[in-house]
Amino acid sequence: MLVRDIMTRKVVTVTPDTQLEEARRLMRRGRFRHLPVLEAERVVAVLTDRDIARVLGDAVDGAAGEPRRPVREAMSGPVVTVTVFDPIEDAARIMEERDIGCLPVIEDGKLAGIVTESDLFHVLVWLMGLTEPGTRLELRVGRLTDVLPRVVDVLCTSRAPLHSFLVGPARPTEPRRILLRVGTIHPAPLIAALRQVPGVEVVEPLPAA
Amino acid sequence: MTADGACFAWNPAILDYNFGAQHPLDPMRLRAFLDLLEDAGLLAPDDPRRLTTTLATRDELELVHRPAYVDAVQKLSEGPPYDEALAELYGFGSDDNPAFEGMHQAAAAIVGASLAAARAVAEGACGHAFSPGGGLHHALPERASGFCIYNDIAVAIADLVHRREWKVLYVDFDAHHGDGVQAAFYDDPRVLTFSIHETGRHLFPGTGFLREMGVGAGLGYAVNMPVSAFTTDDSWVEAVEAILPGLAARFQPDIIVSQHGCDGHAWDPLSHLRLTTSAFARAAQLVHELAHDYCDGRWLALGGGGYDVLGVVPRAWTLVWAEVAHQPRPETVPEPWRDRWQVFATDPLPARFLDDPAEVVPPIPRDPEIVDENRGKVAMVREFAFPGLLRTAFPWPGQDRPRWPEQRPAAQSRTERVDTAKGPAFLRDLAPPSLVARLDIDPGMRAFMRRPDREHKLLINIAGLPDTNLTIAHTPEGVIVGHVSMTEAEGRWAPVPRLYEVAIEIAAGWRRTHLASHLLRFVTSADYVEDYILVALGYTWHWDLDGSGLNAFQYRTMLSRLFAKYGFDVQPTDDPEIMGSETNVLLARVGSRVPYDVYETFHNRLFRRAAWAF
Repeated sequence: MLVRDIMTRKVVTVTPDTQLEEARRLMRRGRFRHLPVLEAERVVAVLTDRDIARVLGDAVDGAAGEPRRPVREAMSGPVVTVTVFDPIEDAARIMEERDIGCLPVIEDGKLAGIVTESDLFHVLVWLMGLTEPGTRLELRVGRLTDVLPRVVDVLCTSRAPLHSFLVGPARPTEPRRILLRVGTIHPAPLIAALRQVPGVEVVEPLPAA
Repeated sequence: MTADGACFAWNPAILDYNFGAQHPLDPMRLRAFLDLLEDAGLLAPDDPRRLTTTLATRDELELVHRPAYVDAVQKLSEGPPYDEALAELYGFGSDDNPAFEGMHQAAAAIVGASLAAARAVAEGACGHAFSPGGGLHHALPERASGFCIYNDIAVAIADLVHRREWKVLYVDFDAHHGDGVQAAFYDDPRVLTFSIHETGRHLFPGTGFLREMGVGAGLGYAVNMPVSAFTTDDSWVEAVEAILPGLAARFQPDIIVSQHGCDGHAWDPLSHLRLTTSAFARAAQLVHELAHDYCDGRWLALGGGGYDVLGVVPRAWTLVWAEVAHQPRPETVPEPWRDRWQVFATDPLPARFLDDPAEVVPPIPRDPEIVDENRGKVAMVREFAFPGLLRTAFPWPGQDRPRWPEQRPAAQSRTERVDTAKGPAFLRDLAPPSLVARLDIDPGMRAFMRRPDREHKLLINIAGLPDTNLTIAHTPEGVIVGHVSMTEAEGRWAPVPRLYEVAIEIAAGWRRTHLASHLLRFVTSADYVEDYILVALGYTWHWDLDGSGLNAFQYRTMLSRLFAKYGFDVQPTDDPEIMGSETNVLLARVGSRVPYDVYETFHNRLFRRAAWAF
């Protein structure tokens, strides 16, 4: 998946000369927290709600009579961007490492959209199958290469729709886990079949700790 | 049939709702149930309380379902060979909901019965109605899900809302989250959905977590209580009793629609709960009481899940019908019935309607932890689901609140006269219940109970409680036009000594007269408040926005400014309920003599980083 598949395309922007009050109103109306700042069609910064609060204070409405101040005084640069062809995991990693909540997306040198934390959460929720009603199953497995063919075979034989199948890298201190979301209210037959696979433990709630 | 009587909505075509021999949802459960009703002498074959019902029409189904979905169900209903691609697209591609011949008619018969029951109640033909074939709460607008093809509950509620603009309280006792009904009305403040179910952590449909509270105008109108796996009767009933009455009081519904899925029973193969028929009977009884308290008795009860076909379902729903029909709970399961049905059962059929949990449920080593987990969640639900004043008025017997003897102000009641644009008003703190009872109440006093007469009762009740301080504003003619209450905080705040929760109300006609300012100044001018922390929790969905003419942002600003004048500051918090809406606000006033360690305890509670992933 690429950034262009998940980015928000309709982007509200401001310029360095926009009044901060106006920027704040745009954020409230649109219910978002980031505004790309454009100067001659180039992204020069991202203005955040925190930038505005730092300059204007936390008041819900600005006190009357204060001098008007432009975005230029609150914005901080330089701005980190990605392109439409970057994989989403790269965008996520940049945001995680730099501790930022939003990346402008560039195509042919111009702003094509933004990708925010919310966009990435939507992908995570979707990837984990949470948009579909289903039962969550967690498997602790031995050597992945040994058990995977048998697990896949059981899943394919069962007619329960598979909404999500996730497996991460191995960690030295923990058993490997497979996270499943299957679209059934009656997973007992599937669980019984998975239990038959050597090296697979199905995590289920137990009356004893 | 009479207005206080009961109706039984049934159609023999419902027995054709059958996904096949190996499927857990076996129509035998309904056959055995109907048979038991007769044997128990609760419903005769020619009983006048039986409603004649028909199949729901396309228009009725389309109140909830998309036309393309109804088309697909009708097409698949013609029988094999099935269009596999079509079946898969609309949720009929799995063993949960395999397509079967005649399924449209069978599913429409269920919807028709629930609709007939809803209309009988709406039109006053009867007070309560039971549609035992209904309760298919998982069906989605364009997909079959969790054994449910058409969502009879959502159709019936939509019909009530369309025809009457009624406020509907939906209560779902099934072991599984009532996701389809919640989704159908997620943004609608006229339908409050409450579902208590096993947490979605290990159970279908994997939703129904505490944070699901509604969206848009419906924020605060979806309430979920996910209990832990292996929850037993006492803890489950405690949760229901701690939440439902306060919810009904806050919402003041015109009708209650309840789903009585009994798959939380210890014997049921599809959930991990360990409940018994005793808990189900108590739940039905409580809904019944609330229907009479708030809805002139209007109550629509429905069936639901239940996969111990003979051991549980017939008894559980016979108990529901006894409640609906105002008949005493039957005690012994008639022997002829047991003889007749025992041959189809693998285990001996129980002899009594009400189970004794000690006999039915094997000991659960983790039980004390489960009880604690559930209590923690109940506290969170109570905090966001209804205002503090209602938490005080509907106390929660299960919670041991640490009492702080030094907390009660030993001060004398004070009075003051203030002049406002509407004329003079008297303020009185530590108001005794006898005074509150003698006074009348302004018709514009309805913020908490939605009706002035009930608001008056609430204030009398609050005034009489230990450890509360009710300050009222009344006119010289003896009419209450405002109040500020200080009540002992519970749940998350209970461990903080010297902490009171503050609520304020001004009669609709007395707003913009500065009465609120007068009241807050008067309350905070008492010397004893310097020993306490006063907290005001502002939840958008508790505010009377219509009455104030303000939007939520303006209301928050108004509230914050008003309280700021009397030493209340907006507190930053990571409280998930407060963070649930950006217009929610937590205001606190820390008295000048509050010791530092108390302040610190309070401050730590603001940032609890609670685990919400139950």
